[in-house]
Amino acid sequence: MSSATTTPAPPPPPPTVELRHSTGGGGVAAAALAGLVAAGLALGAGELVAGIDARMASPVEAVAREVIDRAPSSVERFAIETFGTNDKLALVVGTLALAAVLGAVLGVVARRRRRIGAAGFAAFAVLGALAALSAANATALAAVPSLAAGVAGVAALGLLLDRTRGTRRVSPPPGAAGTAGPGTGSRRAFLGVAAGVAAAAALAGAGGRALRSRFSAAESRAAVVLPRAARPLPAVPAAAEVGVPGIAPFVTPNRDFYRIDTALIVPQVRAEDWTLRVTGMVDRPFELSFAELLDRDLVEADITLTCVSNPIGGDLVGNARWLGVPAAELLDRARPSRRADQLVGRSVDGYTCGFPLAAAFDRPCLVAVGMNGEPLPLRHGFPARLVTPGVYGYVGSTKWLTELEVTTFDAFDQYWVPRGYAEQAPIKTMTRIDTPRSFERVPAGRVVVGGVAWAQTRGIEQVEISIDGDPFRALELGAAVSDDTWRQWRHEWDAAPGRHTIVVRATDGTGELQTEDRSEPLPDGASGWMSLVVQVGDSDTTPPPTT
Amino acid sequence: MIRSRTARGVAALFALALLGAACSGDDDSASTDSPAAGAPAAGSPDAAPADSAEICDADGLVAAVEGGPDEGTLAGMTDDPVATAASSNPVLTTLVTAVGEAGLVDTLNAAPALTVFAPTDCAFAALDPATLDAALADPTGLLTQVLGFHVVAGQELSSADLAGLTEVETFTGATLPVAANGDMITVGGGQAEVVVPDIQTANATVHLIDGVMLPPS
Repeated sequence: MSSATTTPAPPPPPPTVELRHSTGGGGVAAAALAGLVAAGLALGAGELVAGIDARMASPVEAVAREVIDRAPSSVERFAIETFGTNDKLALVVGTLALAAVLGAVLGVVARRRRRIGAAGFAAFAVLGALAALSAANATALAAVPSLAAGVAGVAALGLLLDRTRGTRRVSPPPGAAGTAGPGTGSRRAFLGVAAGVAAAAALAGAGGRALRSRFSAAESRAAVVLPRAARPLPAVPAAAEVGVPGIAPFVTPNRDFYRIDTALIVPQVRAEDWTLRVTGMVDRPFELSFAELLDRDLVEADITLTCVSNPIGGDLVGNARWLGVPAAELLDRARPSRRADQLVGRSVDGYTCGFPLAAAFDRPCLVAVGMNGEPLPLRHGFPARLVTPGVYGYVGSTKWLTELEVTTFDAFDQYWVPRGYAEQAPIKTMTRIDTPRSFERVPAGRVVVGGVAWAQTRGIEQVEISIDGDPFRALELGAAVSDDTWRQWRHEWDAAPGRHTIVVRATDGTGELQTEDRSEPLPDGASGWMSLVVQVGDSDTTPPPTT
Repeated sequence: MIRSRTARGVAALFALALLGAACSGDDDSASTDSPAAGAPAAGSPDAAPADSAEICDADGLVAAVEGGPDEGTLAGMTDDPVATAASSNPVLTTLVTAVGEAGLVDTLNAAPALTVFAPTDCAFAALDPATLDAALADPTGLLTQVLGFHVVAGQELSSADLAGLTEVETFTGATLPVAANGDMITVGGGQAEVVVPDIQTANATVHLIDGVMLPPS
C-alpha cells in the first residue's frame, strides 16, 4: 500500500478544511488496516465456527485445497525450488497472506464505497463456501464457517471504518488552533478498537484450531480393537530374509512405509463416524459401518505395494501384512451388473482410484483395516483403505476409503487419468539393488550384493546378475512368501579393486524376463534393468605405487 | 504426488498475492528473481539461440531452463531424482547423453544424497572434441572417471556450503578443489565456474558449471 507512508506524518500542513471534506472517511492507511483486521476476524470466526462440527470446513483449508486442484502447472517448478518440502506450510501461509492483502485492498475500496468493500468480503465468503462444498462428501454444513466468516468480516469492516472517521491527521478547523486536533483522540480510539478486533481474531482462530483438534481420529484409532483373522497366516518364514545388512526388510515397518497421496492434511476420519457405501451399477447398493465391517470374516494377506512414480532403484515400494475384508465379498452382496468393468474406490477427500472389476475377484483385493498387526495408521488411510496387489497404488489402493462404486472405464476416469497417467497400470517386474549403495566405495575382496525384486500377482522366479558386462548368472533368492510379495536376493562377489558396473534383472513367475527397455514412471510405471556403479578399493585415479 | 502439486498451488497463490499487491499500487514487487546477476546475453537478445551450446551466460541458462518443456512433472506425483530431472533440462543434453552412455542413470537416481556439478552444453562445446570422443568411446572407463569427478556422493552441498570449503572428495576418489571469491565459485582448480547454483532435485543439489573438469591423472 504505497499510501501507507503518508499517514504517520511529519507536522501537518497549514489548516485546510477542504481536506477533510475531500475524504469520505479516514486515511487510506487506516482503511487498509481496518480491512486487514476485518479479514483477520473473518478467518478467525471461520475457524471458530468450523470447530463446532467435524462436517464443517475450515475456510483456509478449503481454499488451499481448491488452489492445489486448480493451480496452473506453469509455475510448479518455481514453487518446488523455492519452498522445497515446506510447500504445504507455505500454501497455508500463502492463503493467509493473500487474505491479508485482499482484506487491506477491500478496506481501502470500502473507504469510499462501503458497499463495494462489503460485497467483496461477501464474495470471498461465497468463494470459500463453494470451495468447502466442492470437497467430496461435503454437506451444506461445510459452507457454514465460510458464510460466518463473511458476516463477521463485513460487520468488523463496518465497525472499524466507522471509527476511522477523523483519524486522518488534519489540522483543526479555523478557530480551534492551538488545541489538540480531533484526529488525535479518534485515531487512538480507532487503533484501540482495531487492536481489540485483531486480538479477538487471533483468539477465535486459536480457539477454532483447538476445538477442531478434538475431531482428530487419533483417539478413535487408539480405541479400535481389531479382531483376529478367521484363518490367520503363519508368521513370515525366516527364510524370506537373506540376511544381508542394507537390504530393505521383508516386512516394511509402518513408520517407514512410503506415503504418496493427494491429501494436503491427513484426513481425520473417526471409525465410529465412518461408513462404506457400495454403489453404482449394482442390484443392491448398501452401506455398512466400521463395526459391521469388523463383524465379517477378516482375512490376512502379505502384499507389496508399489507407487507408479517409483523410478528404477527408487524406494516407493513397501511390503506389509494387511488385515481386511475381501472386496469380492462386499461386491457379491451388492451384485454388480454384468456390463460393469471398473471398480472405483473413493476417498473421503474426493480422491478416486479405479481398476478392473475382475481384479477384485481374482486376487486378494482387500478393504483393509489393519497393517502389520495394528489399525491402519492415520497417514495410511485409517479407518479403511483398499489394497489391491498387482496394480500401482494410484490405480487400486485408495486410502480413507468411503465408497466402492461399480462402473465402467467408459463412464468414469479416476483421479490421475486426466492428469496423464494410464487407465490400466499393472505392476512391471522390477529388481532393485539395495547394497552396495550408489557410489558407495567398498573394500576389495568378498562383497555381498543384495536387493529385492517384485512382480505382484506373478511372483519372482529368478533374479540374475551381471558384473562388468559378464554373462548374467542366477543368484540366491529368499523364500517366496506369496506371488503378491517381493523377494529378497543376494550374491557374493569377489571384487577386485577398481570401478565396477552391476546390472540385475528378474524373471517373473510366468517365465517372462523383465524388460530391458527403459521407461519413465509416467504414464504407467518405470521399466528397465537397474545398473549400479560402485567403486571397489581405493581411488582409481591414484597412480600405482612406483616401487 | 502431493509435493509438486502443492507447490504448484503455492506458486499460484503467490502469483495471486503479487497481483493483489500490484493492484494496490505497490511497485516494490516487480519480480526479478534471476538467481545470479549475470552479464547481458552474449548472443542476439531477441532471437533465443536454437542451439543450447550457445547458451552460456547465467540469464540465458535460467531462461532456457524455465522455458523448457514441462515434461513429466506436469502431472508428477513426486519430485524427480537428479538424472531424470536433468533429462528434461534443455541445456544439459550432452551431459545427459554422456550419463546414459556411462550407465550412470540409476546410480545417480538411486543415491540418497548428491552434489552434482553439471557442465552445460556450452561447457561441452568448449571441450576439445578429441577428448570428448575419446571419453565417449570408453564409457565405463574414461567417461565414467570424468563424470564421477563431477559428483560428490553422500551430501548435498549448497553454494553457501561450497563457499566455506577448499576441496571436496568426488565419487572417483579424486579431490576436487573449490574456491569461492565473493559470489563466484570456482571448481576444479580453475577448470570451471558455477554459473547457476543450487538447483534442487529430489536427491541432489545441482550446480551448472561452464566447463568440463578433467580429473588429475
